[in-house]
Amino acid sequence: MPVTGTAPRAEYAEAVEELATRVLGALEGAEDTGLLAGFLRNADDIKAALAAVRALGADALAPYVLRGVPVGAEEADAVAEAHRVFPLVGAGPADALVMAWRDWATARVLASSGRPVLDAPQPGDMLEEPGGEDGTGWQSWSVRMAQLAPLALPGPDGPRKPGRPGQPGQPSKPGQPGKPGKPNALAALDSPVHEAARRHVRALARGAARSMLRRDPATAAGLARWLALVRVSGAGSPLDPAPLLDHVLLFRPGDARTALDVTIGQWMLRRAG
Amino acid sequence: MSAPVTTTAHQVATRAFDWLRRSETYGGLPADSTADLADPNSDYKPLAETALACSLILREGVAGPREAQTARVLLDFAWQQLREGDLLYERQLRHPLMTDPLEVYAHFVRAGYRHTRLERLLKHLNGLRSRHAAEMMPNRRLAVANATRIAGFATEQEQDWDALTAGTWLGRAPEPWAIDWMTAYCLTHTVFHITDWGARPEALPPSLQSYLTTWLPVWTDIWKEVAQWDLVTELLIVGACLEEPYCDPVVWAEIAAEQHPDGMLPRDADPVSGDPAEAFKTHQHTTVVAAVAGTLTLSRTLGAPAPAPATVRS
Repeated sequence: MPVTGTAPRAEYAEAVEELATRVLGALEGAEDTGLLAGFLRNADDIKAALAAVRALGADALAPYVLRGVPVGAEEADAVAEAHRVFPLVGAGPADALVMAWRDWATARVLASSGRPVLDAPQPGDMLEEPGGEDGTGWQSWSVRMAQLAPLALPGPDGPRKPGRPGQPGQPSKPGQPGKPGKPNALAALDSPVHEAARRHVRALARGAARSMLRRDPATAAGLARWLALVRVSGAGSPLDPAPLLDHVLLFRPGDARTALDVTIGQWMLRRAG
Repeated sequence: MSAPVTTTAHQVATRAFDWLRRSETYGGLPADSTADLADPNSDYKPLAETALACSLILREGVAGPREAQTARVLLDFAWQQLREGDLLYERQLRHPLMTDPLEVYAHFVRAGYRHTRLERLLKHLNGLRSRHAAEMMPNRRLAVANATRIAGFATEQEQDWDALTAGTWLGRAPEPWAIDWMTAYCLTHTVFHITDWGARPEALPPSLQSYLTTWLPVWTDIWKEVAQWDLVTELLIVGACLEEPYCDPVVWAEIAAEQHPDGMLPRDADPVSGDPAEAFKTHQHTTVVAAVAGTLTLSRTLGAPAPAPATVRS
């Protein structure tokens, strides 16, 4: 069944909200190393709970990634189970591509934590980017980028800055003699999608303003998150994401999914100082 | 692939001017009008706007002979309705702080009409502190400044354009997502007056040029989506007032598609009245805007080098 993440079926929407609330709680409060496993164990509707884990993607692991805490085996298994029960099915080619990139992000985060339980290779295709001097196509591209907001996930040190040496998935510390290298849960995601985001900051900004004016705070939140990542990576942006993130939060009080995007965006801006 | 903007803009302007000819039938002042003008927005303002559009088409010099003749006929008609300027004079004399006589007069000055007594009065009023201190919207203040400039009562240097601009919404380059419909109109009028309807694109500070280049596509997109043709077309005028004009062929194509065969551009998606007098009242402003937008866009894009073909990113 199609699971695009931003428009889950109605009966799963509640589960997504509940999981997002718990992830937010973990981000803002005490650590919880068994968040996902516990969520599944205590679910009344296990299918809805698995759909929620699937829908949140890499963001379900945000408390670990942002804190630099390794993802435990049970947590990784919870994610793997969600992917097994809900295989990738997109409503169309663009939806399928968005899902494939989101899944790559989840797999990447798990692999960086030494839990390569998901087989989701980096897609060979990219979204069609805004073209020409005027950036034609920025509207539809920005909506897709908002759906890819889970890729805008920094590590505890912030987002990957372009040109920094090192590859995702490599151990951050080489192994001591006799001991394996420490798994690198700390690597921020980076990919051609992130490069595209840095290339098309104006399109991201236009998309963010457009979605706010169209009263679509969910899309605005996703784009503001990308703008925060791009800004913190050192690129300029015609739009300051900080007041936008605050405004989105006020606009949709009680929407945990949106609040999660906002919180991660604000986290990035705070780290930048 | 949309038609080149130049062709579309020309077509929109030509058809709009054609429709505006009916101003002579539906756009006159009531016969018993006095300088107090019981309902200035219903007749006086539209007359002034028609005069504005005609003055611009003559100024730009890109009109065909038919449009140029229409412009002259309509300007003569409007001037005659204002009793060759006497009505403006009486109105200004009775109401020294009203700015519309000056603003309206400026359109006629642009087209070559003069009224000696009115000018003497306006020059005198321009020397009064009260006149300059009268409270009004910042973009209205810019309208007055531009009209003063056009009519020749003050030089460029004698007016503090930077301060006037800084007082407007646009002048602060605010968050583009914190805008509403009324503020958008404040913005469009701010640009109209600073640049004298595109005659002086360089008068807009570089920071605002780049701000508008970034955000105009967002505003035209969202208001187009809700069929606010009047506002969208005003935003297209703003685009034509920039040093590097913003003229989106997709937006222009939609405006052209919305324009009726007789040249009227509807204000929005509401049903258009079958009564020609009522239709004129409701949609005259938007059709004037279409005529101005088309004329200025034609003028700015004529002779511009053909745009480079869009490159495909590998």
